Amino acid sequence: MKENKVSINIISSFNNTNFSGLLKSSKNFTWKINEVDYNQVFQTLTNSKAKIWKKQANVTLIWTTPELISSEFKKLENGSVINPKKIKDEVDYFCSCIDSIKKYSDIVLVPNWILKYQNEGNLTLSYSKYSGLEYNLSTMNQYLYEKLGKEKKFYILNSLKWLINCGAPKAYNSKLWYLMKNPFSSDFLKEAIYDLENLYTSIRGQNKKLLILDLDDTLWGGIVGDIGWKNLRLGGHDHLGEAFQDFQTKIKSLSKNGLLLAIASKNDEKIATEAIKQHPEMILSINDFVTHRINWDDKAKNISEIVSELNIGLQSVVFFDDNPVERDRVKKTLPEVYVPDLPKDPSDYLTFLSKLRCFDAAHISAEDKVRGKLYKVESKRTSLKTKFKSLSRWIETLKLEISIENIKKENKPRCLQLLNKTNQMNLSTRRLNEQEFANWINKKSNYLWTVRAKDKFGDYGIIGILSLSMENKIVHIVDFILSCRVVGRGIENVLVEFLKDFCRYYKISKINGKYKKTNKNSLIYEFLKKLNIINENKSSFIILSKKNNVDLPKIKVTKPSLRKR
Amino acid sequence: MKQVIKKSIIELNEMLPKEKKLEIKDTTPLISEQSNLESIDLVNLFVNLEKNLKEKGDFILTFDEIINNIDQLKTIGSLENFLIKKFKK
Repeated sequence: MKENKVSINIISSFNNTNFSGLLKSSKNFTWKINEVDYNQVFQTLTNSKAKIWKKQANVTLIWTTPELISSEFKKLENGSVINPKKIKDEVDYFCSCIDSIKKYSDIVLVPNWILKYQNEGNLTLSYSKYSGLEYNLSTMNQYLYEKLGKEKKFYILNSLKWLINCGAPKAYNSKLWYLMKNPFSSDFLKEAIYDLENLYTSIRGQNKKLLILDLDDTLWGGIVGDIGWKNLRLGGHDHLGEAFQDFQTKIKSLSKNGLLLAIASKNDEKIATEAIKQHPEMILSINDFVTHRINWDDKAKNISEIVSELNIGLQSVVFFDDNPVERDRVKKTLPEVYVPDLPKDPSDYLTFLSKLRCFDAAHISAEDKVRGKLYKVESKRTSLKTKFKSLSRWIETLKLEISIENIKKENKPRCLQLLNKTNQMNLSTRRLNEQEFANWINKKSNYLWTVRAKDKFGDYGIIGILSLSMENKIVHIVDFILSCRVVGRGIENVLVEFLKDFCRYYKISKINGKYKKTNKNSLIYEFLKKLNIINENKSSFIILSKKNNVDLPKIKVTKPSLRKR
Repeated sequence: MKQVIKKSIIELNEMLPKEKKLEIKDTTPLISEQSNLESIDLVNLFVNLEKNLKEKGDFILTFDEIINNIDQLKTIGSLENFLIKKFKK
């Protein structure tokens, strides 16, 4: 379903009519395209008054072929000897032009350079410094990364990968080039759109968070309950065993960048966990999985339980299973879960996973890197909770400490993640990009605090955001966001109390709030209703500085100074 | 031949806005006053056709042949007749 409207400026050195046509037909986004005539790259980049820059866009795509950027590179096409230093200067100039237009959009995408035709080249001459096309193309791309890679707003797209995925003969179409001045086939352009949309999804913080895996014939070859762990096909001198091992290695690398892993397998738990722990060729260890359900129950039920235990939305979940019947069951029962069809041949698992872009992260924060650990600790907390009948007693035993802080520069990426990813405990569900967020917090009348939490099990990191807007002593709550991992521990009550502190400090009697209902944020509404802050079926509410008493559990709270900025 | 034409039109439709998408039936206009297609769309259609014909059985259709036989390409149906006639030879 198309929900997201995205505006994009397209500047290209070739005719992009087909690219724009395919983009407009996208099922994932509604692209609002603003383009200039092709081959007007430098004319547009150096003209700040060009029509294309009049409206701020979400994305600017600058797609060029190398000979347009570097006249020196073009000389290579007719076999001339060139001056590599001149190529560097020309790339530098191109990058400085891009830098000058960065303010007109939230992000700037630049596909790296490939040739505009299929070139077999001369094996020995291709990598000659002074006359080789391939050598100088690699150098140009390297300069491009060096110049643009430093800036967070710039993203370099890997067009070489699109070429590999299509296969060069299918990526190019010489007839399209000579008739239309577009060198690339539709298949190639579709690869580009696939990458572009996945990157944009990731920047908006909507990439997948949890991968739930089956075991038999998914992580290893064979049925462990039948043949025993010693006879599984995993690693060793066996082509399929190696394929399963490579697949595990790739999954492990994703988990190191913040993807959570869990197991849902129909197996005897003791036998399966023994295999994970004992098999010497296992790449994934039991500690890589935040939780597991290894039993003979329905997999859809097990997945629902895992999701509920981890407090993650179903739309953030991907499920891998070799068995099409199990996949079908999960697809039908839990349509929000993404269940891709694994290839029939395990030798293709790794390639399949590499092409699956839903886990791609535009940025990886410190929290992402330890997310698995945080969730594992969460499982321990939950098991402790079941031991205590009283919620307040349980919270007490956690020895919870929270710290409310003014927004700091180093916390901005995490704040953006929370703003764009939190669905359930989120009052307004406003989504902001980096620039919009920076603009908002820079406004003097706006206040934004981050909330950190830790307890005896470990540090949760930043798990909440509270923000207000105050003009002429009239205050509105803008964001009330809490990660689902910590909801129900009294932190939300502390935040309401903090809002009252703010009122008292500024001698204000009330704070206005508005609940913006979505399909997923009834949790915050129920919380406000429980405190009698919001009335049934109402969206507007008021927090009075002297009323709405809230129960505060025993939590150590550190608060920031409330003095005027 | 019907399958090749169908595949080529489906590929073209992927790039066309809703209002311009071609209905796959014999009477749908291609090169005529009733057609909604612009020259760039026709280029895409014939490039698709050329590619799909080649894949099907190494049938070669050049752009010059298309230009020289525009009168026979007014509709999807007449395009099919033209191709059948050409590759029967």
